Amino acid sequence: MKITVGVKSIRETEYFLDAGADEVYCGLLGLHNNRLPHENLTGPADVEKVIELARARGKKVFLAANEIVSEKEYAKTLRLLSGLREKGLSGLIVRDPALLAWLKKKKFRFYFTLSTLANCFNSKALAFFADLGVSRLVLPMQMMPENAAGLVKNRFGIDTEIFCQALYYGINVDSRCELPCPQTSEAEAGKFRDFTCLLPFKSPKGTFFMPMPGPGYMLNAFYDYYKAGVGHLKVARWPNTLREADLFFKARYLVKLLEKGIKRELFIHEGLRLDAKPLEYGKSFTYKPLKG
Amino acid sequence: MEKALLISPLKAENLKAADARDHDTLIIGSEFCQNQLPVLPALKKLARRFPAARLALATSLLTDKALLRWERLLRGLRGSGLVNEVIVNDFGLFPALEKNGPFALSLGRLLLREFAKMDRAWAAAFLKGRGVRSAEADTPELALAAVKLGLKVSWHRPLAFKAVTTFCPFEKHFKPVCALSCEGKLLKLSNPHLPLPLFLSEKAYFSPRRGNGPAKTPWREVLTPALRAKS
Repeated sequence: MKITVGVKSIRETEYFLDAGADEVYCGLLGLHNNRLPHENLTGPADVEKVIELARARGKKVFLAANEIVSEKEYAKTLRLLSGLREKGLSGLIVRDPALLAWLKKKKFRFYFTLSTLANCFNSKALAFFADLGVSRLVLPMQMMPENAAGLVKNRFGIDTEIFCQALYYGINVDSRCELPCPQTSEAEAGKFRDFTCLLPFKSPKGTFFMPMPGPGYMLNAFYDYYKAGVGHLKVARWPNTLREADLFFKARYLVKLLEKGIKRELFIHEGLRLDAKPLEYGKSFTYKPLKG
Repeated sequence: MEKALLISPLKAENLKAADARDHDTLIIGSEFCQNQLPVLPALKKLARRFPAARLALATSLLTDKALLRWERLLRGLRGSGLVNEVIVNDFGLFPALEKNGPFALSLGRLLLREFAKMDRAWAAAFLKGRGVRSAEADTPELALAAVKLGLKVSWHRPLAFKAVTTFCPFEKHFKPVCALSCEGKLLKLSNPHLPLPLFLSEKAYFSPRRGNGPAKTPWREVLTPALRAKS
């Protein structure tokens, strides 16, 4: 299982590639993606530098355009992608079927990864996206292997990618969540300090937390996904680099255990020994990038 | 303006005549939980009990196993004329609708949120090509987006959608079949950091709507009684 890591800077790229990331992906300011502007690289030259660093290590780089892209941006996006593909960019992470359809019409062939934000929960939806040229699917974070067999073993030859849900999980379907959170607004005035989905709520039945599966269940899910043949693990871009690094090393440790052929019971035992509360990542949203 | 009731399959089985009165359409199912799936005999019975009402189905995001169950139901409906309309929230459902229709199709609230921001020309052509003529909306912005896509607006009250999960908050699992423990339950949730309370129903969280309704009179108004009880 290859590990794909989201990066916000050149320094992070070097750090994660040298620490064992097989692929990195990044956002670029001006190319609409799911992260706030300060989590993106500032220009194509930065992306080219990331590509150089990855190529020197025999690794790949992907660019994220995992939001709905305005049709006014299509031509600019195509020019950008064409240029970066020549420089060695390996693929694009997308969510927007209209953009995919337009790129297909323009006969722009590339390795397209369908973002988790596209909510592809079934094989027929995958068939729709396969026709638009998708090569890899990031399974919805709220999808478990018990429901994902048809997507993992699909008839289109599409690779699959998962999150390590035991370490990183969103309670609600991301792209359909309209609850305020730190990602809601770049402006300080509009920023919500915490994730609504993590708050304790007062209810007639006492304190209520939005339910999520326990770590044992999610470790079993990770084990099952690995055994089912999922090829890629995603460590998402996160504003707090130390947190992201912590997640990366824990995920890498779990992958190494799986690659050694560890038995399920021992894997769960080892996984539970990690400080693996998925929500801890949501609770530490403070922007703390590595300098440089 | 047409009026519709959006109710669960279990509620539909026990629907009182007084509750259905003055409603042109009975929408059975859910836009937010794939397990709210009616069975064919129950739909036939409902049609016999309320001959003046049109029947519609509401569907949500679907896993393969759930999609299979919905496909089976749609096959059973083929050529029957029993159900006039289906609300769609998953790209994966379109092939089965095309195969087993014709149904009048309405873009569900989850999928409309995606289409609202897309290249309008592509989106409108895609929807026209699949026979989508209306859209479900619960905010003025979504209603406007539907109009811009050339769709009739089906306006939902009393609450507006905020978030949806796939992990059942009532039974704590991801299974495509359940005991329907959520039936009749609406849990009010409040936190001092949020200006308005949330309401949990099935797998979704809702909130009272701030401000006005749609700018123009909608084609249809949909009432979800399950969201009204304690709101």
